This record gives sequence, C-alpha cells and structure tokens, in this order.
Amino acid sequence: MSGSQLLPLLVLWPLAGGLLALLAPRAVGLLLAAGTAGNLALGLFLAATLPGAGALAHDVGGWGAPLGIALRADGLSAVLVLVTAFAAPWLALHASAAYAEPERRYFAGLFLLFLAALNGLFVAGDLFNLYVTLELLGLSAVALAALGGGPAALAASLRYLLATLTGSLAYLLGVALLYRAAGTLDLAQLAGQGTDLPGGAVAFALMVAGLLLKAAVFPLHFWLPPAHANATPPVSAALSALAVKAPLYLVLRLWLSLYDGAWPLVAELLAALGAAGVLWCSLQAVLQARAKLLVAYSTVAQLGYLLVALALVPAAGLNAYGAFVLLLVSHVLAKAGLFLAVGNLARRARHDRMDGFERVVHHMPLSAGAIALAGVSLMGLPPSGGFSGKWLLLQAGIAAGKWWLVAVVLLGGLLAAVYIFKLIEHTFGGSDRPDATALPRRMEWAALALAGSAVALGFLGQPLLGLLGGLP
Amino acid sequence: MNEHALLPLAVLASSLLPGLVIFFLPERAVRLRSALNLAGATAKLLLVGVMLWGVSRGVSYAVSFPLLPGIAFSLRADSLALLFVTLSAQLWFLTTIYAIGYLENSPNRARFFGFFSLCVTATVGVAMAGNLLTFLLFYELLTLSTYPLVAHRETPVARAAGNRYLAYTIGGGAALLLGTAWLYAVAGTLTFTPRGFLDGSDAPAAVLAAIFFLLVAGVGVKAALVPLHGWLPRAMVAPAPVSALLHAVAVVKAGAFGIIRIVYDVFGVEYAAELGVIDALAAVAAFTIIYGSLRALAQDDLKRRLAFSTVSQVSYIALGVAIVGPLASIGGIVHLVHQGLMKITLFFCAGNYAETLGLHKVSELDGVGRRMPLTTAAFTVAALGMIGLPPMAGFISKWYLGLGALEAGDTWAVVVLAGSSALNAAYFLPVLHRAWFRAPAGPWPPPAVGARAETALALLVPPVITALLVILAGLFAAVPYSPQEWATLVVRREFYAP
Amino acid sequence: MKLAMLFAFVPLLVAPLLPLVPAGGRRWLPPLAALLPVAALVPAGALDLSWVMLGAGTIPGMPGAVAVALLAPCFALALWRRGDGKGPGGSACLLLAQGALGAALVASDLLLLLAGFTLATYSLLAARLGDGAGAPGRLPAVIAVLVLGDLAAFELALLLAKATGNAVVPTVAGAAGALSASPVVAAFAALSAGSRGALLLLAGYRSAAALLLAALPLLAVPLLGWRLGGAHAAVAAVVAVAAFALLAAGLAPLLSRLLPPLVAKLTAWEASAFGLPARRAGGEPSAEHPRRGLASGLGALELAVGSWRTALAATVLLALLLLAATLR
Repeated sequence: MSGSQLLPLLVLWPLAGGLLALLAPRAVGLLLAAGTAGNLALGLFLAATLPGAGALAHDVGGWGAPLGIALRADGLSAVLVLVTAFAAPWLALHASAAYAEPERRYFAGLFLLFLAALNGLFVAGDLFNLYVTLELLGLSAVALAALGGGPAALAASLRYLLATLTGSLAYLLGVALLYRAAGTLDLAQLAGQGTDLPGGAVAFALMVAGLLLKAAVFPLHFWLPPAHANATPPVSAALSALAVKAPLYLVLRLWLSLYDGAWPLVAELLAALGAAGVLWCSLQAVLQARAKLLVAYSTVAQLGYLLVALALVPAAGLNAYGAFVLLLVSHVLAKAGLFLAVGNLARRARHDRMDGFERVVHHMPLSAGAIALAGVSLMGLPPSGGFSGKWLLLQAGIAAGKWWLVAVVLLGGLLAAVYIFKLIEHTFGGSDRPDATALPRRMEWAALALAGSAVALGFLGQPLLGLLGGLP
Repeated sequence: MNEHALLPLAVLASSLLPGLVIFFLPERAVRLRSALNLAGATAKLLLVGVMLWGVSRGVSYAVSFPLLPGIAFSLRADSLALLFVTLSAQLWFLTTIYAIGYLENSPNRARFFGFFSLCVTATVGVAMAGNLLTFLLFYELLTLSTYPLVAHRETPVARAAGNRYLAYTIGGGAALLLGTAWLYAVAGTLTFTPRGFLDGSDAPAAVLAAIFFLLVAGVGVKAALVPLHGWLPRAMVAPAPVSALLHAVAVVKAGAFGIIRIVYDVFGVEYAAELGVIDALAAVAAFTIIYGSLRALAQDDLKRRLAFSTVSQVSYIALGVAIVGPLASIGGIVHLVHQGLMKITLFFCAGNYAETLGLHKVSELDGVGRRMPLTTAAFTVAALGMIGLPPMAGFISKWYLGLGALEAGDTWAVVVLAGSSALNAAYFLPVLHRAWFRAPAGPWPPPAVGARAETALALLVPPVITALLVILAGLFAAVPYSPQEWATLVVRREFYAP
Repeated sequence: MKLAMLFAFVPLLVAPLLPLVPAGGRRWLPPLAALLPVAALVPAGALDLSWVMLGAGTIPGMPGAVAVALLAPCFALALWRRGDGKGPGGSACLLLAQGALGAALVASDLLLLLAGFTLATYSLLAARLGDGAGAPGRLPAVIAVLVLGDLAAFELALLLAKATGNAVVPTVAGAAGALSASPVVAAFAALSAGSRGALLLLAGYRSAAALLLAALPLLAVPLLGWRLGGAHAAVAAVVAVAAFALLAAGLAPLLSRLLPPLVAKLTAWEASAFGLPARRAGGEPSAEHPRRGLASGLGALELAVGSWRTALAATVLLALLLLAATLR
C-alpha cells in the first residue's frame, strides 16, 4: 500500500465501522475497539510515510480537481490525524465501561462517524469537501452531546446544533463566493490567490466568522460550556478535545494558505479575541462551582491561546506555528484526560459540585493523578506539551514585540493555576459516603493515560515539530 | 551513550523510579515501601559518591537531548551541582529514615513517600540542570511535588497553607518563565557557563537588568527573600519530615541555588556588578537577614521560630553571592550545605519534641533536656552553629562571609552579619536555657511501652548524625571533600577567572 | 616528643565521651583527664594541625604551655570536688572548658584562638548554670554581654585576619606566621578573654568556687598577651579586661532591663500585624468572601453574553470587523 492510498482509508475505515455499529448492535464493543485501533494504526502509518514524501495527495476515483474529490495530507494533517487517532482508543476504552446498552451502541456508531468526519476534514483537499466533513462533524457531535443526558443536555445540544448550523451556513456562503470568483474549490489551486479574487475579502470574513462561531471562540462561546458540561464524560472529552479544534484548524489553513496570512489588522483582531477569551473564560472557570463547567470554561480559555498563536504566525513564523500545534495537541490530550477524570469523580459522587467531592485522592488516586497531570499541561508548567507550546508562544510574542500578548499568556497561566488547583484542592478532604460504588479501573486508566501523555509530550516536542515540517 | 552520560540519569532515576512504584503500592505494603525507599536512597548516595570522586579529578558528567528547536534538556554534574546533589542525597537518606519512623501508622503513606521521592528527584534535577530551561523544568516539578506534602494532613489549615504555598510559588514560576523566555530571545542560549554568558551581549543594560530581576524574583520566592517569604512560616503545618525537606534539602535550597546559578553562571558576578543589579540583591538579602531574625524573636511556636530563622539564614547565601569576591562566594556557597545540616537537625529535633512529648511551643520546653538529652544535645549543637559559634559549621560560613565583605570593602555587610548573630543568639539561647536549665512544669508523659531510648530510634538517630556532621563540617573544614574545601574548589574552578 | 602538645587536648576528647562511661569510672576519669595536659610542659616542637578548622597549629613553650599546665591541677581539683553527684553533664562541660581554654592558649592561629575561648566560655557558663548557680534575673544580661563580647571578638578577629594578610585567596592558610608580633592580637585576646571573664564574674560572684573558676580565664589573659605581644601587651591585656569588666558591669543591668520589653513589644507587633487570620469555628479561613460581589457580577455578565441574540449579533459584528480589517 502506498502512502497516498492511505488517505481514503482514513475516512472509510471509521465510517464503515460507525455504520456497522449502528446496524449490528451485537458486535459493538468489538467494532469500537477495531475501529479506533485500526484508525490508530492508519494514523501511525501516515506519520511514518509522510516525512519521506513531504506531502501526500490522492484523487478519489482518479478524477482530478476541480471535478473529483481530492485528498491531501501534509505535516499538519498528519499531526492532527495522529493525535486524534491516539486519543480515540482511550475515549473508547472509557466509554466501553461508562455506558450501558443501548447508549453504548449509539456512542460507538456516532463516535466512529465523528472520527471519520475529523479524519476527512484533516485530509480534505478542497473547500467543499471541507464543508461536508465539517457538517458531518457538527451533526455527529450534536448527537453525541444529546446522548443519554437529561433535559439540560437536550437543551444544550439544541443550542449547539443551532450554533453549528449557523456557522456552517456562514462558511458555505463564503465558499460559494470564492467559487464564483475563482471557478475552483481546490485548496492547492487557490493557494495564495484569496486576496486578489473579487469578493475574496468578504468570503474570508464570512468563512472565518462562521468557523469561529463553531469553534466557540470568545465571545461566541455561549453554547459550549452547557453543551460540554452536560454531556456524558466520554462525549465531553471528545467534544472539548477534538470537535472544537477542527474549525480552528480550518481557519489556520484558510488564512495561511489561501490568503497568505494577509492583513495585519486581521492578526490584531484575532489576537485580541484570543487574549480576551483567555482572560475572560479563565476568570469564569475560576468562578464555577461545578467541576465540569470549570473544565468547559477552561476549554474556551485554551482556545484563546490557539487564536493568539495563530495571530502571531505571520509576524513570528515557525515559532508561532509550532506553538499553535503544540498547544493544540497538548490540549487535546490534557483536556480529554481531564474531562474523563472529572467525569469519574462526578460519577462516583453522583453530581459534579466541587465542594461535594469526597476524599477523591483516597478512593480514586488514579483519577486525582490524571487531574493533576492534565492540570500541569493546562497551566503550562514544565515538563509538558502545554509548557513547550507556551514557551514557543512566548518566544513568538517577544520576537514580534507584542508584550501585551506575553502578559496575557502569563496571566492566563496564573488563572489556569488558580482554577486547576481549586479543582485539585477539592480532591483532598471531604468525608466518606458509605454507599459509593467503585468504578471500573479502566475508566481511571484511560484518563490517566491521556493526561500522562500530555505531560510526556513535553519530551516529544522535537519529533512532533519534525513531523510538522514548515509553514503550510 | 557512555557511563559519563548515564550517571546523571541514574542519579535522577534512583529516586524517581522508587517514587513512581510507590504510588502504585498498596497502603499496607509497609516493608516493601520502606525497602524501596532506602534502596533508592542508598543507590543515590553511592552514585553521587562515584560522581564526586570523578568530578574532583576533572571528569565531566553530562547528558543532553533536544526538547524544542534550540532548547535542550541538559543535565550536567559540575562541581557546584555536586555540592548540592551530595547535600540532598545525604539528607534524603536521613530524612527517609526519619519519615519512616515519624509517619508510622499514619494514613496516606504511599502518597507521602511517592511525592517525597519526586521532590528529591526534582531537587537533584535542579542541582544538575545544565541550562536555565532544564532548571525551570525541575523547579516547577519541585513546586508541584511539594504541594501534596504541605497539604498532606488534609485539614483546612493544611490546605490553606498549601494554597498559600502555591500562590507564591506559581507566581514566582511565572516570573521565572518570563525572565527565561526573554533571556533566550535576547541571548539565544540558556546554557549555564562558568562566569556567565551575557558579558559582551549587545542587549541594552536596562533589558538585562529587568531580566535579572525577573529571574531573581522567580527563584527568590522559594529562597524566601522578603517580601516573597510569606508561604514559608505558613507551611509549618506540614509534618516534620516535610518541614525538614522544605527548609534544608529541597525548596528553599533550590531557590538559593537558583540565585547562585543566575548570578554566577548566567550573568557572571562581575558583569552583574557592572550592571549594578548585584547591589539591589545585596540590599534585599541584608534586609531579609535582619527582618527574619526579628520576626523569629517574636514567635512562640517552635517550628514557626525555626521557619523565620530559615528566612534569615538562607539569605546569608544570597548575601554571599551578592558580595563580589571569592571569599564571600565561598561563604555563601558553603552555607548552602551548612545551613542545610543545621536546619535539618533543628527540625528533626522539633519533630521529636512534638511526636514524643507533644511539645510545640518554646514556652513548653522547660526542662526537656533531662527527658530527651540526645535530642536536646543535637538541638543545642545546631542552634549554636546557627549563631555562628566556633567550631560549629555555621562559624565557617560566617567567617568567610565576613572576610569577603571586608575584602570587598562592604563594611555594612559585616555589621549586618554581626546584628544577625546577635539576634540569632537572642532567639536561640533562651530555648537552650529553657531546655537544659529550667525545671519542667509537670511530669512528662510516660515513655512508650518497650521504648529503649528517649524516643523511637528512627527519630533519634538522624538528628544525632546531622548534629555530628555540623560539628565535623566546622571542625574539619580543611579536610579534602569537606563542604568548605569543595566550595573553594567550585569558586576557583567556575566563578572567577583564574 | 613532638606530640606532647596533643595532651593539652585530652580533656576535649574525653568530655563528649563522658556520658558513655559507666558510673564507676565517672568519679576518677574526669580529674585524671584534666591532669593530663600537664604533659604540655615537655619540650616539644610546633604542631601543625592543618586539618582542623581552616588549618590550625600550636606554638610550643612559654608561656602557653605553662598556662595550660597551671590550669590542669585547678580543673582537676574542681572536678574531684564536684564528684559525680550531679550527673555527667556538668563534668563534661568543665572538661570541655578546660580543653578549649588550653587550645586557645597554645593556638598559633586566630581561628583556634577564637574557637577555644568561645567554647570555653559557653561550656563554663553551662557548667555553672547546670549546677544551679545561675541568677535567673540577670540571665538575659549575662547572655547579652556574652553575645556582645562574642561579636566584638569575631569582628576583631576578622579585621586581624585581614590586617595580617591572611592569604585566603582562594585557599585559606592559617594566619600563624604574621600573628606573634602584632600588638593588635594582644588587644584582641584581651577583649575576647575579658568579655568572658567579666561575664563569669557577673554570673556568679556570690559563690567562692565560682570566683575561682572565673578567675582562671582571667589568669590566662596576661599570659596570652605576653605570649603574643610581650610584656607591654600583657599589661594592655589586663587593662582591657578591667575596662571591659567595668563596662559589662554597667551595661548588664541596662540590657537586662531593655531586652525583655523589646521582645514583648515585638511579640505584640507580631500578633497585631501578622496574626493568623481569624477563622470561623471549624471552617475555612474567611479569605474568599470579599470576592463574592464581584464574582456574582461576573457570572451575571457571562449569562447575559450567553444568549442567542447577543451571540448572533456578535457573529455578524465579527464578520464585519474581519471585513473591515481586510480593507487595510
């Protein structure tokens, strides 16, 4: 199998698994395991073949652009596919213990569809395919969010649905404008053309605004905290860690390759949004009394970092790009681990109010450890992927002379320390409840593995950046 | 990778691996846990001994691999690193024995010893860090691994102390991070270099001064420089072995060691003096010395008194660093070891009083010398050493600091030292007088059944050994491999141009 | 017989071992050990103790060895009379004092001199306090004078080390060679010895036995001055001792009146300025409350932001802003 034939498999494998899971309820556990494990193997294979090839491309069915479906993978795609594929088996492992039938069946199907959509998005080579995968991603995410929840979860996922549809609509409008101007939607053919096309700027504004709404960037984050906090733990983890990253990845692709990172004011605007998000949502996270809401707000705050890093790419180049990717990857791992761990706590306590947790370090040391390890990465303390990303971000900020961003990054780190340690402090103390039941151990190990890998990423920054290669 | 690269890693692993294993051991596996701990501590001592021998003969132990573009994770055991590593390896060994005795039958011991080992790993990493980023990495790891130890008792007071500790140290970490990032942007390297790597840099002096203050503020939090010292007295709620660890082996020492690294191996002391920043450090250190002593005078709680004493004494190191000249440098660096030996003795003894007789306050110590003669003798030796009486270890540090201050023409520093000695005497001698010469207020509680000594042997032996070390380090300061001789070697090799 | 001088240090070695000696041996061992330093009178060469402190040494012959030999029977007598009635601690302290004093008298370097005198004084004081001869009311004063004397001695020793060209860069050598001629040394010896003599006078002038012991270091003073600076230094030493004794006698009551109120004031200031924050009964410290108003305000603001209308408006506004940003 050559590298480029891998690309359709990345989409088809989980897609097939997902459809089968919905059709064949008996073999759900097996399908979930095989789907995610095979996906991980594919991801690893992609990462292994890519460095020799530079970039991979595949035209589905042999039809070239602008007619056929073009799939492409460069370093950025490979990194994102790989981290998604790495996180998925752990989420599946957790879910296999967390759900009973029939939720497990629904989860398996939807989650594999969700994976297929993500993979497709990361390797899609044209704007329309991107729209399709984005839509599939949004819909599967909404369905997941509604899974097994009460009225609150349902209301929250409805909001989520409206937000994601609005965002997609805006994005589609932008795509249509571009198609009218350029006559093609192929990313490679459009590269660097965006600024010169008539209506290119309008298309840009529409697409980016829509994507930012889908990514729940401050101040468009209103839908995220309730949706993520009311979903079941594996879903919260998948949504917070993976779903919101995809639109941001798209913003980066569009802005940097189609528009060459044009317009300094756009950079300023994105940086301002990111900085405001970091500060405001960190502050909100500090104020929360419910653990899952705290974690959800932390997600929005961390997305602010990504935006800040993105905004610095035109000015600071590779450092900012590396910061974006490292922060993204470490957030995927840390947030997934954190949500799973907090979910474990909430499941044992049967609520997620922090002051009602009882002697967590005593009864669930693995989950407490996962919270601590994930916290290390989220606070940006060394050694962790979060620290490596923050370090590159600081370097980028200093090199670009943006001292206010440097200050925001540091302040955000301090606020993150406050909310993380608020969480950690509540895992100490409290009193025992006699009727509490023990959790299956694999739910705790899944959280710990994800959180631990976020910390281990601190030592893997160099190979990761090597795989990433230069700017797209 | 040859054995010269493996040794630093092995020294780290000798405490890291037992720590990680201990986390997953069941609570009741007391013997296995203790065996693991002691095996790790012994292995570390042996490995450090080998490195000590090698470094004195000029071998260099280093290992490094890239973390990020231009930034490496680098461990290097130079002579200064070994001074600190040896101190922490020895004291870790003793503290482990002490902690095993102290925490007998108390809950959550697996967690305690796990983090205990992590904490020492971080300290050794801080010591052997070959560049500022690796230093920062272990410095933060130290913060994180000490928090559960401070909050170990899980009471509201302990958790409040833990929060206070975090508030200070995380803030300090942020300052250190900013300083480090800025320094890298300005200088393009972070590798510790003898006599600094900034001399000749074309960055404006104001920028370098700002970086200096950021870095020193970052490490100054742990070194408890006033006004960044507020966490230290609060952290007294922690169990005695933790206090010993905080004060003598790990946390404040890591801060003081950071000051040494920053002044000598990043800026170079002569260049720092040229920049004018060293005088500010000297002023802060001098103020801290006096302020800490004054506060100590007013404490009735024994551990709090010792805590403020630490605030004061650790700044001797900063003062020695801030006075330009080899003699003061020797005094500052050797005090790193001497203060560790003396303070750990004092905390062990305070722990013994609390654990054996339930005494926590100075005013309760009347006549305790008769009941616990060996503990009180150890306390006496360490306290006299703190005052700086010959022939105890503290005298040697004070002597070099004084000589160095005179050599540099800083007469005010001599006055500060004298004032601090007087205050030290004023808060330690009354304790000694109470313990030895006053009549006890009432009968002591009866000794535990089957007790053969004044307290459990695991509690008694460590302070007696450290007290002996305090005397030996002072009395035989001129013997090869003594702290003083090693500090002289460090200063001659690395700090000043020959 | 080069090592004869080592006998001067025998009491130092025996003292710490005394508590380990079986009760039967405690009666005769201390006086015997105290007598041994007489052997210092045997003609011997200078002893180089390069591994002690920062490199110490002893000077043989008159008058140091004579003084050591003179001290020995006095201490032996005191130890014999004391017996073992009050436990080994007191005897150990006396032995320690004798050994340290002897070391100071024959020292050829400043550090050993200083260390010897300091150790001798503190152990004499401990011996006397241990025997219950202390005057508790004046103890702060005694300690204050002692500490001040220590400091003065330390500072003078530092100055001396500098003045005598103590070649300390980077290895430290003893200041032995340059010392003997310096009259400053005599003054230093006088001051350090004087402070201690004065102190001991202060501590126990009521009992005759104490006076005898107190007189011993005083006897050593002129001898030491003589050894280090000749006859005129001996006279200077005696004068300095007398002066310091007077000064101390005057200073002591003043200090004893000043010190306790100072500590009390500090304690009061400590309690008012740094007292631990008041805790509610059995609860957390009340540090988080002032934030309540602000916190609820922020929460309400976040809720207001989180409505559909504002979000849609914000999206449109963002798109417009992005568009505007592309215009330049």
